[in-house]
Amino acid sequence: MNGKVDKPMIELCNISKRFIKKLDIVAKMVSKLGFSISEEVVHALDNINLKVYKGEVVGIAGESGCGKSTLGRIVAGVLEPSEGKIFYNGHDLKSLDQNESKRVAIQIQMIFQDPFSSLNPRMKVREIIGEAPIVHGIIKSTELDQYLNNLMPICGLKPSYKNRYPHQFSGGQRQRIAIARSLAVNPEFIVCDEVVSALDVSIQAQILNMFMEHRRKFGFASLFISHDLSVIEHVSDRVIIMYLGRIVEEATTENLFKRPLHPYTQALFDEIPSFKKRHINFSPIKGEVPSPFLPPSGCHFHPRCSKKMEICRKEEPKTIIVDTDRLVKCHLF
Amino acid sequence: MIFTDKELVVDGLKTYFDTRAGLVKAVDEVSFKLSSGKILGLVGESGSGKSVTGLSVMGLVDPPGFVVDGKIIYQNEDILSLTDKELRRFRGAHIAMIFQDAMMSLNPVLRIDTQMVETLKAHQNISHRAALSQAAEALTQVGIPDPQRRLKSYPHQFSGGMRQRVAIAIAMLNDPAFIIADEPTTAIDVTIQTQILYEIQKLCSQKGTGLLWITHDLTVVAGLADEVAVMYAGKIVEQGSVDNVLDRPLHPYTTGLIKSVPAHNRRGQPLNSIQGMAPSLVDLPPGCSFRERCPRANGLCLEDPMFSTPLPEHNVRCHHPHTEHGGVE
Repeated sequence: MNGKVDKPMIELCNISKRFIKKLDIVAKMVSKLGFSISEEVVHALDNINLKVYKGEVVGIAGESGCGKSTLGRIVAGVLEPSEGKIFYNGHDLKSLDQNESKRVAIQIQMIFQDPFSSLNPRMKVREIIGEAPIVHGIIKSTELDQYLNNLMPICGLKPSYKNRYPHQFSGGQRQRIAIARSLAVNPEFIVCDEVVSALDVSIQAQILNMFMEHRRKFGFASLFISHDLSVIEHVSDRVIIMYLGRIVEEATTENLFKRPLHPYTQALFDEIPSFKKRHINFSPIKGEVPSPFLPPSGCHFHPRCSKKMEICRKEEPKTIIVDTDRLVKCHLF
Repeated sequence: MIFTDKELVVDGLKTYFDTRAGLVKAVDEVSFKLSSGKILGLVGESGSGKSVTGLSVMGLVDPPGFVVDGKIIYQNEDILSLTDKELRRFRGAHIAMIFQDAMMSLNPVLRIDTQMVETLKAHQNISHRAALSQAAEALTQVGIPDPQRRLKSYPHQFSGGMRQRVAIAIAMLNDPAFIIADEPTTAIDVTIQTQILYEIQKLCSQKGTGLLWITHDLTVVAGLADEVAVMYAGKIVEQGSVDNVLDRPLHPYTTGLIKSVPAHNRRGQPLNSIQGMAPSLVDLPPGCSFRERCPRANGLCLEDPMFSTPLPEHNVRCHHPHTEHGGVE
């Protein structure tokens, strides 16, 4: 983990991502007339530093709008960061030539939340799973059938399904197809964005079991994004808690769930429903996640924090290393 | 708080859908009882019939769906025998419903105040001004700050959690005796979910409203409900107090559901998932519909299991209930 000597497989350095809402034509004209109208900017990610080592599963948790999906998409190469660098096995992704970056691109796969929109409805399962390995020369097109016969059963799909279309499957089976598609190119790294959120509990358990079995078998590393903290705890080696585009705490799963440090993490953990918590009197954190258009000054969490101090409103807290291997971004430490 | 005890008794409810593919028994002989100030959790996975149960109680099932049998008794009256006009007067005043997606249940082109005043005037003879002040009060009760200003907003100007609060406020407007809540926190973050649960719990205990909480999430039911009913393929398969059902589940399906949820002390270990998936409800064959996925199934399960009460006040519909074990570890 953080004390490890080997090089990280993926390293993000000072990654920021801003989404800008461009001015419409009226606003442009008005601003030409000398009125000051500025573009609206969302700081989806603010100075993110993150390392993921070989074979490691890093869980990312946070509420909607905290930037966890944006982070996943940037790592998967779907989005470009506005600032900062991404290193893959020590190489800056920007410095690679076209062939090299193609090779890197297939090493990093992504599985999406909604298996109803992530699979092309006009393609058969054989094309969905087989397209990438053929295009990238991993297999010849004549070997596809054999390849699918091996791959589909380990994802819990009957090889006879390969000539069906996505609409002929249930949500759980579609997610299995999406997983098979990502495994088809033998990736080193898989970004999982809320992969079990849309599934029923019993199906969710099947998919989580399959994910963990494949991880042991194939040894890929993963960024596992979920708003469900019990799922995160179950699959991750290390966990990152995000709030409004910033990482507020990072620790090994065991340490984090044993002793959360950041007031936000503590509040989140208090609210995880569980079988053990019966007939409780709910006591919520006050307020909602503020709009990312207008994040609060200083520490973003201060308006909702039970331990806020004068300084929290004025200054952004620094990221502090605690107990040698955990990071926390809070003025209390 | 003093409130008069009321009951809503659902007895042998059957709601079938006559589709082109065949007869779908979405709700098949469902019985339960709601009492004032108590919360019943109705738990099931997609397609188990839990939402249709809620809609049937409200008289909101559209063709090709029909309530074919059963009784819904509220204050010595069978709701199913009411005419459309009587039903319209009854709905909202005595039983209200909260839906999963408040964006869909609120009218997007009307301001919140219009929608709230409309709800009040439909059931009470009340002046516009009095209705407005009652609406503002309702918004305050569900924790919406600055209600006077917020009344003038449109639904899209609220966040998801706030919209759900508005839906709750509207449901509570006419002081219904019972509320049916269909997955109102499903698409919502955990912190906002806790806020909603807090408001609901407060309102139920203060006003003595009885609540049917329909959800797929057993862990929320553990914290919120007094009693729980587990549905599978249109039938209630297990029913009892939350403590009994979660600590000593009798039905193999309930056991499977509980074990499917990642637990704190079993990190990284395989979850005991239930094999296979829920059967299609079209022309479901007779017998226990869980038998294909059940580790305990045998020849006996080809026959429909009856409801039995192997433990006091703890019902189960199974030929081989887990009466022997000491609980889920």
